[in-house]
Amino acid sequence: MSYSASELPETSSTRPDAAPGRHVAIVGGGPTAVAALVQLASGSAVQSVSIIAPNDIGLTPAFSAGGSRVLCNTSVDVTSLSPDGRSDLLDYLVGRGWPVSSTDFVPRYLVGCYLRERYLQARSAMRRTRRPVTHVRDRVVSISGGPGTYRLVLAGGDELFAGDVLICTGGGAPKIPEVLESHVNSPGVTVMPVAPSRLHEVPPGSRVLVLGSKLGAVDAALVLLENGCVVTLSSPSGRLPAVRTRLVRGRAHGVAEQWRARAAHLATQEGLRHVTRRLVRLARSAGAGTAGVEPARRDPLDQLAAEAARAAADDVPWQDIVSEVIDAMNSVLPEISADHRQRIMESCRESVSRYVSAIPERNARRLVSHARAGRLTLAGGLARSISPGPEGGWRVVWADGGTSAGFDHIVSAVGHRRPQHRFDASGTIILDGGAGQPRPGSEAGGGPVRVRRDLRLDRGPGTPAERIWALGATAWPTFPVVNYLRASAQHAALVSAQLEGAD
Amino acid sequence: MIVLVDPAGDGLGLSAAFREEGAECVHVYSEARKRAYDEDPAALRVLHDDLESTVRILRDLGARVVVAAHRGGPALADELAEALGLDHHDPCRRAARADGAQTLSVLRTAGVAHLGLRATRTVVGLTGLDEDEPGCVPASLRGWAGGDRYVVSTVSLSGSHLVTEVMSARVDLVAGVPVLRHLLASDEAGRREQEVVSCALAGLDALGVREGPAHTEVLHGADGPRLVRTSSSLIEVGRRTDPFHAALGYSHRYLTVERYLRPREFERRLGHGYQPRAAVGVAYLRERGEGRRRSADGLRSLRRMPGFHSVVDLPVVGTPQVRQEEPARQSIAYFVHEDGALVAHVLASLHEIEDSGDLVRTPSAIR
Repeated sequence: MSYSASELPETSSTRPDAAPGRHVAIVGGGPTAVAALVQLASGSAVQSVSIIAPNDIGLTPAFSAGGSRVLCNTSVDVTSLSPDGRSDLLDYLVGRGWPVSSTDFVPRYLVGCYLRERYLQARSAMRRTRRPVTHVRDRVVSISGGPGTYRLVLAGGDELFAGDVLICTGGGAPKIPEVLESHVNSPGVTVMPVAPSRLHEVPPGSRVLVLGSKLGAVDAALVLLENGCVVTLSSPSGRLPAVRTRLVRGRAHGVAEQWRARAAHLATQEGLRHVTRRLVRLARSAGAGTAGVEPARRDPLDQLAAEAARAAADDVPWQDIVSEVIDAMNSVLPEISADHRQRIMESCRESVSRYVSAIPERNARRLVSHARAGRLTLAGGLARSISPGPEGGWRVVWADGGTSAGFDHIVSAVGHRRPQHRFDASGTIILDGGAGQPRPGSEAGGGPVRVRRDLRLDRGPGTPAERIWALGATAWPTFPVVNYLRASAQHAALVSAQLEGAD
Repeated sequence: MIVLVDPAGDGLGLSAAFREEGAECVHVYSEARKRAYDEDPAALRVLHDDLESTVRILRDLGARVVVAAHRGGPALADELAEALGLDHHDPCRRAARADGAQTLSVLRTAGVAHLGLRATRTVVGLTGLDEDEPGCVPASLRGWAGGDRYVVSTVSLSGSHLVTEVMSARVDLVAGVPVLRHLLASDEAGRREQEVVSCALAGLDALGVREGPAHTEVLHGADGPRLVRTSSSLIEVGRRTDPFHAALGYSHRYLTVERYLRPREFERRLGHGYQPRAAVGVAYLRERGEGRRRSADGLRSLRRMPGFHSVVDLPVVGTPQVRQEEPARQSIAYFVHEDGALVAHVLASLHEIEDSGDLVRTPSAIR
C-alpha cells in the first residue's frame, strides 16, 4: 500500500528545519494562526511556514460544529480575516449561496468552515509560489536561541528551527472553579469548551448546574435547554451579558483620537468618568437622544427580558459604538504604561464583559422563553461546596444561607485562564499549556514574557526585542480585547507588515 | 455471462454496470431471497433450489464469472463457482468464510486480531440497506464503545487486493441502540488507517479471498485494530456511486466491473496503491420529533455546506417522518471535498442540525 507524498505533510512527523530564506514558525492552529498565514501568503518575504498545532488548522472549539443554533456573538462584518474593507466572511458566505448581510450573527460552525477553507487557500497560494507550508501535528513546549535561529522544542520530543516565530496559541486552559476541582474527571461533570454533541449526552430532563453566566455559559445553557434539560446558571457576578442585534464597524467618531489626547489622565477616576460620559453621549447621539441602555434590575432574567425586548425593537444605539470602542482600546491602551492599562481595565471590566461580550438577540429571546417556561433559572448565589449526591448526581450547597440543591450534571463554563508564557533563567521561553509547565528550578531568574505594542516579545526594559510575535489572545494584556477575530486579523496584518519590511 | 448471486440493493446496480459495458448477467437468488427474485424484472434470473440444476442452467448460459452481489451471497457464490470450476476464492477456505467459529480459528492461526464471536452489529448492517441484518434493533453495545469502526473495501485479482475505500464510521448510541450517523472516506491515510488496512488485508488472505469485491469491518481501539467481519461481496453503504467517482475517480461497483471485464486495466491499478484525491462523506440523515413532516427547510443549510454533493430520497413534506427504527428509509446526503478535515467538520455540524430538529420539522420538534 502506498500513500500520496503530497498528502504527507498534514499527518506525518516530518520536521522541516529552517529553510533557506525566511522560515516562519506559527505556533498554534486556531483562527489567529489562519489570519497569520493568510497575511503571510499575500506577501512575498516569507519563504516557508511551519504550523505547529495538534488540531486540524482552523477547526477549534470556538468555531466547532454546533448546528444552526449556536451563533457567533459578533456580526459577519467584524468576524473576518481581513482587518479592513469589506468583510471577507461576507464574501465567503455569499460565495456559498448564503443570503447574508454584514450585520448578521451566523452559526459558529460556518466560521469554522470559513477558517478552514481560507487556510487551505492560503496554503495553496504559498505552495503555488514554491513556498512550502507544513503542518506539524504537535505542541511547542519551549523556544530558545535568538533572532534568525530559534529552536522550537516539541512535546513529542522533536525540534525544529525557524527564523521568526508567531505565537498564536489562543486562550489558556479552561478555568476550574475551586469547588469543582476535585470532581473534574468524574462522570456527570463537563468542562467547557466541548463540542455541543458532548452536551447532548446529558439526558433530556436532567437538572444541570452551569457554572458561569457569560457567553460560553449561555451557549452551553442553550444547547442543554434545547436538548430538554433544566438549567441553573450560577456565577460570581450573577449577571448575564447585554443583548444586541449587531456588532459592526460604523462611522468613526474619533474615539481613539480623543483617548490618545487625554492619555495621561485615562487611568484616573476623573479620566475614566470623562471617557464614560463621552461614550454615553456618543451612544445617545447615535440613538436620537437615548443610548438604549436598559436600567439595572434586581433579577438578571428580568433584565435579560427587558434588553431582549429593546433589541427586538431595534432600540440598542450603544451597540453601534462598540466596534470603535474595541478598536480604540486595542490601539490606545497598548501605548500607555502597563500599570495604567491594568487600572483602566479593572475599572471597566464589568462593562467590557457585559457590553463587548453581549449576546445576539435571537439567543436572548430563546433564553427568555426557557426562563418563562421554568426551565432556566439563575442561582441566587455561588456554590460553597459540590459533593456526590446520596442517590447519584450532585449535591450543591450555596454560599449564602447554606441551602442546598440537587443536580444530575454540572457544566463548568467560567472561561479560560490567560496563557502565561514565560522565560526561564536560561532565557528559554516556556510556552503555557500541556507540557509547557515550568520545569522545576526554572523559575529563578525568569519571568513573564512581555508583549510590546508592535506585538514582539521582550524580556523587560533594556532587553532587545525578539523576532517572536504574540498574536490574538497571547497579546493580552497589552491588547485588552483579544477574543475577537478582527483583533487577530489586525495583529496578523501588523506582523506581516513588519516581516515584509524587514531585511 | 456474469453470474450475480443475490443481487439485492446495490447488487442490481452492479448488474446495470455490467450491462452498461455490454456484459450479460444472470441473477441467481437463494431461496431466502425469493421475494427479491419475484420482484426482479431481469430476463435472466434463477431461483436456486438444488446445486445440480442451478449449475446446469449456468453452464448452459456460458457462465464465466461468479460474483456475490450482496452480503448474503458469498456462500452460494463459493459453492457455484467451485461446481462450475471457475476462478474464485480459495476453495480450501470455503468453510472458514461461511462459518463464524471456523473464521475465528483461521484468523487466530494467521495471527489476525479479531473481535471474537460476540454478538455485534456491523456498520453495513446499521445502514438498514442489508436485509440480512435489519438496521436498527437493540444489540450488544460491546464492540461499539471499544474504539472506532472502519470499513475497508477491496477488489481482488488473483489474490492481489486493491484497496478502494477506507471509511471511518460515526456510530452514536441513542437510547442504547447504535445509530450510524455517517461514513467518511478521508483524503488522508494516516498511521491508524494503515493499521486498519493491514488488518483487513491480513484477514482477506487468511480467509482465502482472492477474486472480486469484498469489504471488511475493523474496530480500532486501545489495543490496536481487530477484525469484526469480512464479506467477499459488494459493499452496500449508499444508493449512489457518483460521489465516489467525483472524489476518487472510481467506485467499488465499477472497479468490480473493470476487474472482470478489463482485468489488464485493473491490474495496472495494483501498483499504485490507495491514493485518495478527495474525501467522501456519506451522512444518514436522522429526523427528530414525531408526526408528519411539516417542512424540510434544514436542507437549505445542508446544500450550502462546503463539499455538498447530493441527497437521495429527500424527505417528503406531509408524510410521516422516518423513525430511528427505519434506517432503510432515511435520506442520505453525500459530500465530496479535497479536505477530509473539512468534511468531518461539516458532517458533525450537520448532525447537530439533525439532532436539534432543524433539518426536518414536525409539529412536535423543538424549535
